[in-house]
Amino acid sequence: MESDVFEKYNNVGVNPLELACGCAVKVDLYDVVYPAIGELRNKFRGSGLEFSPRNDAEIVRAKEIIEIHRRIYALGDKANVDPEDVRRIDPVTCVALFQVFQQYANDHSRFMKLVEPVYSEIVESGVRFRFGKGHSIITTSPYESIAIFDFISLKGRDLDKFLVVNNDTINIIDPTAGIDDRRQVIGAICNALNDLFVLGVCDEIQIAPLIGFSESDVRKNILEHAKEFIKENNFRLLEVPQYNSSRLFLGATVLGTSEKQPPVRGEFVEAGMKVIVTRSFGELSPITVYVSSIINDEIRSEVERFGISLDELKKEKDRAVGLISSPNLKAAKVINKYLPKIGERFKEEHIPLASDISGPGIYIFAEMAEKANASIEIDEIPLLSPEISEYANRTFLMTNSTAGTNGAFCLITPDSICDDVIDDLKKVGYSPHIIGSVKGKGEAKVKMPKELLKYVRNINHPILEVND
Amino acid sequence: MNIKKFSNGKYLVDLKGLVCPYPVLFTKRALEKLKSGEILEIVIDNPPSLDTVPEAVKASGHEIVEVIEMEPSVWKISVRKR
Repeated sequence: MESDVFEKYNNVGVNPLELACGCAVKVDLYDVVYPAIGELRNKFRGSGLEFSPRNDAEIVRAKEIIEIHRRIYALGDKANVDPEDVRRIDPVTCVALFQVFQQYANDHSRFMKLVEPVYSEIVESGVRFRFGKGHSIITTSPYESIAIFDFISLKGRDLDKFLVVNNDTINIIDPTAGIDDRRQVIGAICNALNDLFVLGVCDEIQIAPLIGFSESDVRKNILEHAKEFIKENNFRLLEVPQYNSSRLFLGATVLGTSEKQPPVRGEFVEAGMKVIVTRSFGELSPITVYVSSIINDEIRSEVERFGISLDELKKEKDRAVGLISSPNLKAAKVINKYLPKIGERFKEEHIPLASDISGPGIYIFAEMAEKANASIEIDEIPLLSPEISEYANRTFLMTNSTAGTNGAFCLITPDSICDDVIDDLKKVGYSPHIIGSVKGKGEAKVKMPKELLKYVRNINHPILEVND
Repeated sequence: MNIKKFSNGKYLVDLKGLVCPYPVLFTKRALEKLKSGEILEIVIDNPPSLDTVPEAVKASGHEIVEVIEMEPSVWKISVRKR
């Protein structure tokens, strides 16, 4: 049965079982990426290359002319940066995708051996600029460890708006759909846009697709779907080179502007504020369990014994893929309405802090508590398919079945505007929930309800507690 | 997925290259084919599976005999079927 389902992949020489669903493709952030960035920051201090603080997207002051320059570099001792080229580009910032052979991806010192030479060669250019945001994914091919740098240069006069830049990629969303399925392509681009939209950024959206695949017909179809989506939404396509990878990846570098201040101001979070999610989350569980039930008859029987028929499972999977392939632009416009203009102060009619729940799932509340140095209590965990998420975790198919892709947003909102924000989100088709509140300031802590144990295995975060 | 018999009562399944959740799925499927007391050696190179495969195996009542790193980021998990 699986050979029929995966025929389209097999026909172009791809094993879909080597491709992670959604955001699961990333290199471990806490044990590998963040320690490596810490070392790089120390090594290159004073060199002119500055590393942005840990943010979901890079934020800089906009200028009249925005240019993107994509460069593809080898990693490790084969690094091939041309410092003169970097001088010509004269970037203000950059975002980068690192595709790393998996033997280098689970240890920060091995990871450093691959990425450090690229930074060293960039520093040789002598250009002062900021490394805005990196994104690291794993490949099973030892020959395809590469970095794709999108350098951003700005010219002309300063504008009274921010430019926000993000990049993100995935392998696939639904392995039972075709490799160049339209919803898969759109979902990958929406996932990159999500980190802009959560900041209320919805003006002058520009998209540089980031597609790795060597089979030319499939790549052409993928690019066509991307172009249609960009046109339908009145976004702007940025023509950039792509990489001939044997291992599929889909995504984009995305840019947008905003005249409002982004909701990244944890210092304005106060006790009494409410925690809102724009909709239920956990998109990856129904997809993972559906694919597993197709591969393994025993899983299918077990899921049915759990009270979920294959038909229901497929419907839930399709609903999740539908959500993943819908841009959260309308939610971005609601967030934008509750942000102060540049130069104004954050007041009680503004949302001070918002985050994309996607990849981390419930761990996002811990990240937000840390940013706000606040104690947060979560009362409920609204999941798209709670029974399926519970099954996925109980059977070791997912260790965190609250994770998703192009997921919901979490907003920390003053009580005085909470009802208005909820009403505005409902008016544009969302199903928001108030799921908790801020209890105090001065200590970063999150209390979660006991039901969390049904969805997350080995909860491992120093500030996250589960209620008895 | 191919299960190779390499000595009396010992089998090997090579799951290198596969990502989550497939190593757990194929380990379960391979164990279904063994008799009680036989050994299955599972070779993986996907780091998260180093946690999920042993946990899933133990939860099904099988015994983890040993876990060794054969080369950087390639592991062999030996399991005795209950």
